[in-house]
Amino acid sequence: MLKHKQHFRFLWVLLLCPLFLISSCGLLRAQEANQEYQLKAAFLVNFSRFITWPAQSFSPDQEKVTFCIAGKNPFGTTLDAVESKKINDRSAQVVSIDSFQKLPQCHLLFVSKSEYNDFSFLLSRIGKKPVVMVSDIPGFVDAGGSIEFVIKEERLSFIINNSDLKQRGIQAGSSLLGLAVSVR
Amino acid sequence: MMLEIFRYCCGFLFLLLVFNPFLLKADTPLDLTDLSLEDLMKIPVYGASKFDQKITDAPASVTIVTADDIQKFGYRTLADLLRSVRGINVSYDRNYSYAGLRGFSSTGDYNSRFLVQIDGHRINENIYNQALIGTEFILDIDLIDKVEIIRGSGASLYGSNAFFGVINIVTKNSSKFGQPQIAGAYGSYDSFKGRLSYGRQFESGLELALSGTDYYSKGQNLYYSEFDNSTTPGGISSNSDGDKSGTLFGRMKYGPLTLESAWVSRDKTLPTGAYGTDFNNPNTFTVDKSWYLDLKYHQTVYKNTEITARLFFDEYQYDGHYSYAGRINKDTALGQALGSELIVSRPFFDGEHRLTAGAEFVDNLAQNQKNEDLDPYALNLDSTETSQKWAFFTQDEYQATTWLRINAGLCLDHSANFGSLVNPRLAFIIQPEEKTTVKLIYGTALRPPNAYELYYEDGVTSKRPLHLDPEKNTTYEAILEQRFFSNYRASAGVFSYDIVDMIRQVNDPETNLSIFQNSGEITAEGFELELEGVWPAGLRGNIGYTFQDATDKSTGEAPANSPQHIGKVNLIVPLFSDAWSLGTNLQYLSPRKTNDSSSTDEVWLINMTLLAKNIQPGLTLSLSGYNLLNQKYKDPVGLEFRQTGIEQDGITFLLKMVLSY
Repeated sequence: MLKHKQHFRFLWVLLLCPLFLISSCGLLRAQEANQEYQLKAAFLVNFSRFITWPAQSFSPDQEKVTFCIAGKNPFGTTLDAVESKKINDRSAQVVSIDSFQKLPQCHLLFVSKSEYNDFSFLLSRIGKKPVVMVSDIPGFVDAGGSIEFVIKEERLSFIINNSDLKQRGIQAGSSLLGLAVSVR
Repeated sequence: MMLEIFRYCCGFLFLLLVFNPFLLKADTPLDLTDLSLEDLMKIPVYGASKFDQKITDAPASVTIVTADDIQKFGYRTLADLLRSVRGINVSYDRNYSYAGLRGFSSTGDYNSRFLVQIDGHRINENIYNQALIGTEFILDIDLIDKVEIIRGSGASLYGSNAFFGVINIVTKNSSKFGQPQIAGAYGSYDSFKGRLSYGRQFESGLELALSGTDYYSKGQNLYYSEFDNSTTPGGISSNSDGDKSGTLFGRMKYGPLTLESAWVSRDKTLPTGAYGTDFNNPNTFTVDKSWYLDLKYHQTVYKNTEITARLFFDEYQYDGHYSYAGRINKDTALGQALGSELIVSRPFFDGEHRLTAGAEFVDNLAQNQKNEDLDPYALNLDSTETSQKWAFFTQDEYQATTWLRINAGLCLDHSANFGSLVNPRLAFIIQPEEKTTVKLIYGTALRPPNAYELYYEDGVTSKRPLHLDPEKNTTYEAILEQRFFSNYRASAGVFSYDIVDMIRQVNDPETNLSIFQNSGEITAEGFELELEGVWPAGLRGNIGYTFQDATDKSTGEAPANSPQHIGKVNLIVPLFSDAWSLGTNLQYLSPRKTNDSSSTDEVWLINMTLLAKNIQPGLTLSLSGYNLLNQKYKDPVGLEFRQTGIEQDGITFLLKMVLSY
C-alpha cells in the first residue's frame, strides 16, 4: 500500500515543476513574448526602405507609406513607432484591416497567423495590386505571398518572391534580395 | 530521505531561476527599427517558431533532441539520451542497453522492434535485428546534429523493424567537425574518452568529415548477493566490468552524392555471471563489431521531384567468449548484407498531394551463427544462412482542405520464407487553427522472425523452432498539440496497441530446452502529457508524464520491465552569461515487475551538467554528475541471469573538454 502511494510522488513534481517554471518566468514573459514580433516589426520597416512602389500608388491624399495588418495584431504597439519615422522621405502610418474596403490603401500588408486558414482568400482579393504581402505563415510565398518570414539557425530570415513583386510593378533593392535565404 | 534530497534539488533549481542574475538583467530597451537588416539578422529569436515545425507536421508523436541538448545535458551515449525522452525507459544488463516504449521492454529481448537509422542508413543488423545503443553504438554521440524519436509503428514507410518506433539520427554538418576538434573526457571508474574530428568544405564544393573516438572504462567491483555463497564467497565481481570501444566515422559529399562509412568495435567483460557462466571471471566477454558503407544520391529535379538512391553494405560480427568451469564456449555470429534503395517523391495536383514511392532490395549475404566449445573441441551449432528481401512502399500526403491533411502509407515486404507482408498506416492531421493540431493515427506492423529466432540452437540449452509466424502489432493513437502564449507547447495523447503472435522464448516441456514460439499477446493502453517552454537567454525546459497499462494476456498481469508511470523533466538554465548553463534531467520510473513476479523499487534519477561553452575561444568545458541522489536501483533482466534485477551505477561524474580550431 505504502509503495503504491510512492508512485504518486511524481505527480507532485508534475504539479510543482510547471508551477515554478511559470511563476518564475511569468514576469519575464510579458517582456519578451513579443521579442520575436519586435524583431519582425523592425524587419518590416527595413523592407519598406529597400522597396520602390510605383508612383501611382501614392496620391496627394495618400502620401504616406501605409503598413496594414490583416487579422489579429501580433505586434502590440511596437509597429506604431513607425509613424514617427521617415521611410525614404515619406511619413508612415499603420492601419488595421477590419474591412476589405481598406485594402487598396496598403503598401505593405502583414498577414497575421490568425488568418492561417483564410489568407488565400485575402490574397485573391488583392489580385495584382502594388502591395507587398508579408507573413510568417509557413508556405505563404508558395501560396502567392511576396515575403515569408522563416527562422534559420535561430535567426529571423525571409524568402522573397521577386517575380511576383515585379508583376505588381514593385522594385525590390538588390541588397534586400541579397539578404534573403531564397529568391523566387 | 530521497524525497528530502529531491526537494532540496527542486528548491535549488527554483532559487537559481528566480535569482539568476543573467535572467534578471533587464533587456535594454532598444529601438530595433534603427538597426540595419544585416544586424537584425544576427539577433537570435525565441518563441513559438523555435519549436520545430516537423513535430507538428509529422503524422506521429515525435520528440527531437538536438546537438545543443546533447552538450548541455551531458549525454554520454544514445542510451543516455533516450533515457531523458518522454515515455522511454532504458535498461542495462552490464552488457547491452535496451530501450522500451509504451510499456513494452521485454527482458531477454534485443532492440529488434525499434528501427535506428543514421543519415537514413539502417543500423539494425541482420541476425538479431538489433540496434546497439550503449557504448556499443556505432557513432560518437558528439557527432550527432539531431535525433528524431518517432513513436508508433513506422512499418508502412520503414519496413518491419519499425515495429514500435523509429529513431532517426542526423549527423553534424562537416563545418561542425572542427579543423580539427579534440575532445577528452575523464570520469568515474577510470573512464577515459578521446575524440579527434576534422571537417572541411573545399572550394570545389567537396565536403569532408572524419572522426575517431576511443573509449575505455575499467568498470567497478560489483556485489551480487545471488553469488554470495560457498563457491564464490563474498559475491564480489572484481575486474570484470571493463568496457572498451573504438568508433570511426567518415563522410564525403560532392554535389548530390554522399559516401558515408562508420565502424565500431566494442569489448565488454560480463560481471554478472549471465548464462550460467563462471562468476567473477574476466574470460567471459563479448566483442561486437560492425561497419557500413553507404553511397547516397539525392537530387531535386523538375517540379520539386525528389530522388534518393542508395547503395549500401553492412557487416556485423559478434564474438561471445563464455567461461564454463574454466572451459571456453565461443558463441559467434556474422551478418553481411548488400542492399539498394530508390525513393521518389513528388507533388501532384498543385501540391495538394505529395506522393512518395520507393523500393528496397536487400541481399543478406551471410546470416551465420556458430557455437563451439574449445578444449576439448565440440561444434554445437554451425548455421550458415542467406536470404533476400524486397520491399515496396508508397505514401500519400494529401492536403484535403486548409485544416485537414491525410497521410496514408502502405508497405509490402516480400521474402522467400514469409511471402508478402502488408503494413498499412493512416493518419489524419487536423489543424483547426494555427496553434492547434489534432492527429488521429491507425497502423499495423508485421515483424518476421529474425535469423536468431529461426535458426539458433546449441542442443544444450536451446532448440530451433520448426515454424514461426510473423508477429503483428495494431496501434491506435490520438494526439492533441496546442501552442499558447507564443512560447509554450503542450501535447496530450492516448494510445492503444495489441501485439499478437508475439515471438518469445519458452521452455519446451518435451526436451526441457528453450525454444522460440508465437505464444503471446500483449495489449496496452496509455496516455502521455508533455509541456514544453522556451524563454529568452536560452532558458528552456520540458516535463513529460506517461501512464501505460500493458497486459500480458497469458498471465493477465503487466509484463516484466514495464513501468506503469514514467516521468521526465529536462531543464536548461543559463547562468552568468551566454557561455554558462546548467542542464538538469529528472527521471522517474515506477516499480517494474521482474521475472520472479516480485518488483524493483521505483527509480528517481537526477543528472546535472554544468557547461562553459567557448570560455576561451574554441574551448568548452563541462562537468556532469549522474544519479546525484546516489540511488541504488535495479533494472529487471531476463531468465539468462541468476539475478532478477541488475544493479545500476550509483553517483558518477564526468569531466569533459572540447578544443576546436
